[in-house]
Amino acid sequence: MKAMKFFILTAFLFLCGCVAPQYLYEKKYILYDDGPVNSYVSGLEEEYPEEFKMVHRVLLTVYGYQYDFTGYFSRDGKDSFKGVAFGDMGGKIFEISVEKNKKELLYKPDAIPEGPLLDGMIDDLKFLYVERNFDTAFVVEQSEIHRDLVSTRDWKNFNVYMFRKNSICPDEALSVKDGEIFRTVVFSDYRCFGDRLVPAKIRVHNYRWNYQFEIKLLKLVSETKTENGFDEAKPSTDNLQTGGVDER
Amino acid sequence: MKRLFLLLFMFCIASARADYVKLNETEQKEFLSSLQTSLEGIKRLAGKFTQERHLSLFTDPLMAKGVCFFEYPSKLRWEIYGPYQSILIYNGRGVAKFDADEKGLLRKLNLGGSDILMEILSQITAWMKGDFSKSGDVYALSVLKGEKDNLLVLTPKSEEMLKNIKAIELSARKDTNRISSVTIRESKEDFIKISFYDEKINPEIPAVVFDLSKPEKAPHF
Repeated sequence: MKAMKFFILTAFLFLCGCVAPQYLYEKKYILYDDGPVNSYVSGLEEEYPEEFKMVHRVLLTVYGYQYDFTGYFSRDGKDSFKGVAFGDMGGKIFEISVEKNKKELLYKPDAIPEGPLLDGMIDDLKFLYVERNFDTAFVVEQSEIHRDLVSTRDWKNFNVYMFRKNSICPDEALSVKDGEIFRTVVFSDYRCFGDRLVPAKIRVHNYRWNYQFEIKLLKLVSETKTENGFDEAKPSTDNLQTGGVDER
Repeated sequence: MKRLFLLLFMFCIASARADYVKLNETEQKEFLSSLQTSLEGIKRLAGKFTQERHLSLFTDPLMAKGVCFFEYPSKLRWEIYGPYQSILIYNGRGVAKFDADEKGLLRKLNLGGSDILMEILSQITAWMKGDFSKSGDVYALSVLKGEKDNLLVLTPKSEEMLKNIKAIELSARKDTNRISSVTIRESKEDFIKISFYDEKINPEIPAVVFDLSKPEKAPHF
């Protein structure tokens, strides 16, 4: 009898483990006015030029371990981009490429599995800097100061961009796939790049592949403009505050 | 006409190579021995550096600036302060890395892949002492003699490593025998060049500079 109970309990726990909680998006009040949709959509569609290059400082956290590197990103049109990551002393960490939506892993060390790069990192970069599909988008007023732009195919697969009411720059975003949240994003520190506003800091949590990364923009280059030194620092002899070390 | 261009092209290549002459085995041994003797006298070293990252993807190189400290036998602090902040400390037994958060406060990273990093740093500190004896298993070493400097070229032996790094070039100044730059070549167009300047030989370096748990401010020099 005891063995039977144990078996049932194990089976129950196994089933609970297999069924991830489904995300239910709360639609407080849908705005049927086209004005807000158009301003949010055009803001996001024009956030980056069609062709540009970027340099980032990236801190990646996987299963509690942290890896920092410099990331180089180049977008070439609506469906092609390249990304390459280098360590502080020059060694290449990985290199990815998307050519007309065809994903390719050009380099990775044996120790890094393929999935998180091919289906994780590439899709995250695509979401952040390339993909802008708002054909079916609408705006939801969540509160007096908070609006969402929802881009959905169906209620199991959609993206939500969250805005403060008077801003056309999103503070946060989340992506749902097959009914589960698989990515959340926090955008901050918006800076001017010509007549565009781009977030200099981005934090991504990818739940599907269980990693997080923080991006700090160092350089942005387009055909018409180059912006250097988004956050120029000085040596520790001058300005690093060493009083408190955040032991993560 | 085509032949003329070809000849001109070959002449240009020949001229570029003429700057450096490859040493034979005996000369190479002599050079490495003299380099080791010169570098053995350096017990502590502090210097500034610039890192130029050249990528075919970008027309302009990305520049980074930093300071480094070395203490014999194997302590190293590699600190980048622009355009981002990052401190790497190795003391021969362990390694730690710190970056600055949004308020400029240092945070210690729970560093992944630290065993691999320690292996690399142990090799770098060996090179700083002029000890290339352990590098022979991994790299083929050749020395090219130039007018102002000698170039130590380390070429990876394994095919796997060659996919990532084609060569590491250490430039040693002829007058002092000190390493003035390191170039890591990934392909013809992609490379990183680290150039050292304002070096101080055997300065006082407080022990806290190499503290793995809480790095103190590095001294001015």
